[in-house]
Amino acid sequence: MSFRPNHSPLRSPRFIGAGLAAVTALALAGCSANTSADDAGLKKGDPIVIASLESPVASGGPDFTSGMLVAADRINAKGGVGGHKIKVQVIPQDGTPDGIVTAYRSAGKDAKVLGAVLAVAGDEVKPISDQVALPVITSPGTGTVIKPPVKYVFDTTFSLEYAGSALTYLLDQHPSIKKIAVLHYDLAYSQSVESSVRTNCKRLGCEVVDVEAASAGASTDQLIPQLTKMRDSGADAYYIEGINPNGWKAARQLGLFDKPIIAENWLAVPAIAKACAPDCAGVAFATHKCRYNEDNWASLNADDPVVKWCREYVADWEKANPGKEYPVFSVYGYDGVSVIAQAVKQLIDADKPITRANIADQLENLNGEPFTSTGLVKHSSPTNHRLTGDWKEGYVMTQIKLEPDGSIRYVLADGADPAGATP
Amino acid sequence: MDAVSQYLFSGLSSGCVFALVALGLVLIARVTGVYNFAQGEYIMVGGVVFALTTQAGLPILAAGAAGVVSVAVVAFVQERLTVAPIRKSTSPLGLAVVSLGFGVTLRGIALIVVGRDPISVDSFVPGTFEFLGARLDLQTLWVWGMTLLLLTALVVLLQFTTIGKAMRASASNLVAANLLGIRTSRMSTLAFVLAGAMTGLAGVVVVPLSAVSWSSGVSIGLIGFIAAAVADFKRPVIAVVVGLAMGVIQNLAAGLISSDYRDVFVYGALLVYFVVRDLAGEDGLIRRAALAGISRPSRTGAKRTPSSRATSLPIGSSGVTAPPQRRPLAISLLPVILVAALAVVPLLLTSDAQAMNAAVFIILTSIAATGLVLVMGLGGMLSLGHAAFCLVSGYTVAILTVRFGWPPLLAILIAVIAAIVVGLIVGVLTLRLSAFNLAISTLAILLMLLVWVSQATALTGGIRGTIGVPPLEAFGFTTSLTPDRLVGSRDR
Repeated sequence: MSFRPNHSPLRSPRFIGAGLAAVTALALAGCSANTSADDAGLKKGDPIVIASLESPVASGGPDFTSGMLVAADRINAKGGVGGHKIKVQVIPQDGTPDGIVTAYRSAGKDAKVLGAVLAVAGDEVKPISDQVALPVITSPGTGTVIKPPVKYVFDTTFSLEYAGSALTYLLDQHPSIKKIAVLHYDLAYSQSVESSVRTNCKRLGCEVVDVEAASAGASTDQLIPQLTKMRDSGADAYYIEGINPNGWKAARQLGLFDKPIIAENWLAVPAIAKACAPDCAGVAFATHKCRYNEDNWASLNADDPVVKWCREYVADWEKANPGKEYPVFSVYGYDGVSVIAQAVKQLIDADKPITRANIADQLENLNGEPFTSTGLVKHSSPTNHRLTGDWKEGYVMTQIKLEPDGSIRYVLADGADPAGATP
Repeated sequence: MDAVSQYLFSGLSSGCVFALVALGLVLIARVTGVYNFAQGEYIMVGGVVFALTTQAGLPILAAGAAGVVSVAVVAFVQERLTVAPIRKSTSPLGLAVVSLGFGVTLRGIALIVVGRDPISVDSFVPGTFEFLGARLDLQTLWVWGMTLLLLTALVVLLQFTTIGKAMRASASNLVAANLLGIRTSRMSTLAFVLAGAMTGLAGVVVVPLSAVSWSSGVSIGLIGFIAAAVADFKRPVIAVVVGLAMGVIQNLAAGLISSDYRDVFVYGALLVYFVVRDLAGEDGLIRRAALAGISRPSRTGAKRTPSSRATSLPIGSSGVTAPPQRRPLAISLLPVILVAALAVVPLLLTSDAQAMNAAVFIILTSIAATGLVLVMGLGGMLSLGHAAFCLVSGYTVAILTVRFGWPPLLAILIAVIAAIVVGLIVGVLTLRLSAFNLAISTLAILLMLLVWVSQATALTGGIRGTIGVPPLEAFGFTTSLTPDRLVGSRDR
């Protein structure tokens, strides 16, 4: 039996025609258009348009936009920046690298847009940022996007501090702990967990004895092998990435809670905390002071300027979003708008044209009063594009407490410094 | 020993979930001939309904009933809307594709209803127990018990009841069953509803062990499908055994070898199983080599046919090869016109990056689909691993240009050769297999490659992908066709 037809359709004019058309399509589709708008600058009375490259995942998109809108409202209520109102323009993307890049290109082609805020890692946009030439504020929590820095890409999050604070706290509370076992998942952020724990352990004098990886969607039973190996590794404590609720269930099942467990900021997302409670109750992690509320801000220092800022910010957010649950990740969106607005203000003060290129230059030289959720930006320079204040000012060691009625509360971790977390 | 015991029994629980999905698949395929790609979503729907109703305050029993009934209703709707009207006029492959679409719709609805965050519920009876050195959640007993119960019920139903026999008769010969007075349409509906209720029940008992989200059904459904395919969609006991085995292998591999590469061992084992089964089969190389020792066959002797062990899956609507007919010129030119029209679209969309990206993606997908037509349409082979060739060529370009600084044009040339070489290797390994054995083997190769891509971080960039592929420059034009970043399964 032969599979070869008598008359091969590969030689038919129709097939050749379709092939030629496909090749033509390929060639034409590839001819790039200009990917950036003319950087003509802001004219008198024009709004300062900042794009939110919004992912569909709440904690990676809509939450950020809500914070951006609070910042815009606050600035506009004071008359804007040099008479220019702030306008937030949402450009949705699907969370895939292609989607992120396409959204960034879209923003770049719109001449009105002067800056963009991206809720997730910025590794996708970094290679094309010179081509698009639009300042973009990212929040990856890994630090990779600004190492080395490129002109248009900035970062309003910390990196090693997320794991570092938890480790510092752990070793401070339990000086006998020397060996740590780590479980991380397969998300972009997760890839930095191992190196972060190793780097911090080297600094603090502990040893990483086991590192396990799993899918962020793995079931409890699928996580059992990894956690069993961690249990049997001789570790004195465990670092378990927080995003998969099944990880906590598996850890409970295997009795890992006999030893201290630390994690990172994922548990500050209420949906994740609710899904993992009661299993994740008692786990220590560093989170922003704005994660707290009126019930327990009193547990922090009364004269803490960030607590004062958080009170006002959360009140503004709740006023703008009545009936909705306040998301702490919105502070990163707030910071994104704030730093761009501050850069524009400095340009106006210096009587320079408000162009994208000048905004990017100014973001490297921010100064002025405290204006981010972690206080005054202290690291802005041409060689350091991290636009944050001080870690200890903004973050505090926290744990989830299970209330008798089954609800959860974020509380200061046992014995933690109320002034803030030490990275 | 305790650790091995832990891997084994936890793997058994994972395997029970795969087995329950496979059971539902076997039931539907055996009675209706439909390979239901929406089966994994059934378990998700059951879990979501159970979790939501539990959180709303319903007692476990009522919430469980809500989960089971809702999936039975979903299955009923699927059968009435997407199977019954087209079953007689559509090929098995066509019905499978329709079920895939139904599954995607279910996922979309779940995403709208519950959002992207996972939902979790407590075990029916909180606590753990020790079993041969393993510490297990008490919910595990429910999962094990339910698997055993449902397997027994299905075997009894199909082998020893009148309805079961009527169901099997419907599957065996639709016309004859009708002539015998069996209402085959009703049997088809019943099969879907039963499979739905069964898988819904699985979702209910499993959700306390594993938080459920809108996308939970995808990977479970995939492995359940593989288990059912190994059982040729006919033998429920084999499907259950394979499902259990896959869960156990997955956990043993993760525990004893590497958690990073555990899926490679699962899919590798599957591939080896198919190839060895073929080699040792009636027409396999081993038997033929043994026979050759007795009497050397003539070079012009009877030609080999692909292994006949597996279910045959006709690609065309009737499954019967019809003499070629000339189509009207207008219809023949339609694909040419469509592709030519697509060629112009990007030129019209230069001001809209999102639409431009979508247009380019459509064209690239069309080119990939053209390759698939060569395999499935002309070759008559069901390949589910076609994306592997795109992956190989894409990563070859990315690695050569970014890591080694090669010029893009040369990298593209090498990438095409690499894809051809991989195609040749895949062909040599799998082309003797038929129908679903070939489909699952090719899928296994793709899944193994995806694991490798996500783990070989130094070369591929891992989950972050390879960033900074330079654009192709030729004849004064700069193209932006090369993706800005190439990554693994989760992004594509």
